[in-house]
Amino acid sequence: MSENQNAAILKRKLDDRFFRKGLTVAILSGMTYGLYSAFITYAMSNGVWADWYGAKSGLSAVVVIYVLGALGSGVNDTMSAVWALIVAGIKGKLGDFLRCLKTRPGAVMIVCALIGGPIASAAYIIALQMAGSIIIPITALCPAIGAILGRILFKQPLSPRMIAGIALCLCATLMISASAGMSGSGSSTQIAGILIAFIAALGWGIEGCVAGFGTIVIDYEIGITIRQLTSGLANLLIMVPIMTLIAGNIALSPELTLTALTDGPSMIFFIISGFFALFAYSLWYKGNSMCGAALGMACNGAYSFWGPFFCWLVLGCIFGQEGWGLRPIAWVAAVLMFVGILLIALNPLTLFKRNEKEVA
Amino acid sequence: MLPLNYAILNRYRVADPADVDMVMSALEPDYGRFRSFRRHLVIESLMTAKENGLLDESDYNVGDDGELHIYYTLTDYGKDILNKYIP
Repeated sequence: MSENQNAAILKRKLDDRFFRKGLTVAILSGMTYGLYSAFITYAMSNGVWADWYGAKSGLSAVVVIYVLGALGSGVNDTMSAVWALIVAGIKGKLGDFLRCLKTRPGAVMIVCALIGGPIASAAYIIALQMAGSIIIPITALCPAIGAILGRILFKQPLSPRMIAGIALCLCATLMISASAGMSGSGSSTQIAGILIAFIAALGWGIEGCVAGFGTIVIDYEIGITIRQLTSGLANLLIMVPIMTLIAGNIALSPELTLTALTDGPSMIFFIISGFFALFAYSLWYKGNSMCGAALGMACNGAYSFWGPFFCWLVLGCIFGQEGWGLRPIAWVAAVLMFVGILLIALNPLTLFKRNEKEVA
Repeated sequence: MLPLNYAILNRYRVADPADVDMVMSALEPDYGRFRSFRRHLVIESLMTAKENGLLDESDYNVGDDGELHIYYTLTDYGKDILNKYIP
């Protein structure tokens, strides 16, 4: 074998390994997103949260829906930020974290965190509380938004084959939504929840695309530390006070925040949900930067299956809560989504060509 | 001092084309003590930058050390991004 041939084989192995790693990272981001969804839902049904959401809480409907949604999101992201700082400390990246904060990409990351954190995550939690897991697939529309933005802003490729793959993923998402809709109450609260879920989809579409690009310049573990810290603090120190002010009682803000942060039975599960949220977002950023926004976000968007799946597994099977059953159509949709992701990731013609070369 | 990932990309402003070992030996005095200053991680950084159009491959070969050496060059788009984000 000549030196050139040897180099070509080694190079192809390296390229394949890089591609497989990016794909694995992006898929894992969707799975950990499902776990984060399950544990935050459980955390928000435990301890003082059970009282707040109970009939005798004495809290107004606005506070229960909007303030508690932002508070839950804030507590989760703050716990996630603590995990992120621990990981960055262990890996010796705290110095770079501080250096990145002072740079332009650091500022871009903070803006992304504000869009994806207080705005989109709070919308997600509020929608989840209002309409249940039906909204999870709706928020998974963000891959389409991210892919289109990636094309416009960063000139990332978006071929007809990739568009077909994204369309297939969206069909699968709609199938899960439709099945959940059939089992849902169809109440005005549920419809409002669905509409709020679209805000989350738009926010995450912007965040995934821009932050995924940002992690080309910024290390992804530093990026996620900036993201979770900004999001957690902005939720607890800005969003919750604003919402309690709108609800007519700003004094509630510190009272609710302190009570939530010192409530043992729920905090145990917020620590777990924060841990999974760390990987859900950091692997999302890394997957997007390694695979491009279209493929990275489609793999991450599979959380529209992993979300209801882990809610069923964790909340239904492990904690014995009722109403988290997974309909057969969700499994069919998961297979469709897998085909859609493959279509975005791989050009079938290239595969055939490669096989022909190997045979020759 | 620039964050490590910035410094890796920034190296291509002064030495272009360059492979991972050239980048690492240039950064060694300042970043050698960093726990994430490892060959496979720097390769991943370079490949990510290439995947996103900041760098392009100009050549590759197997060196005397038996390792694959890929030489990258900064693209026009990469230059724009560096000028914008790492002035």
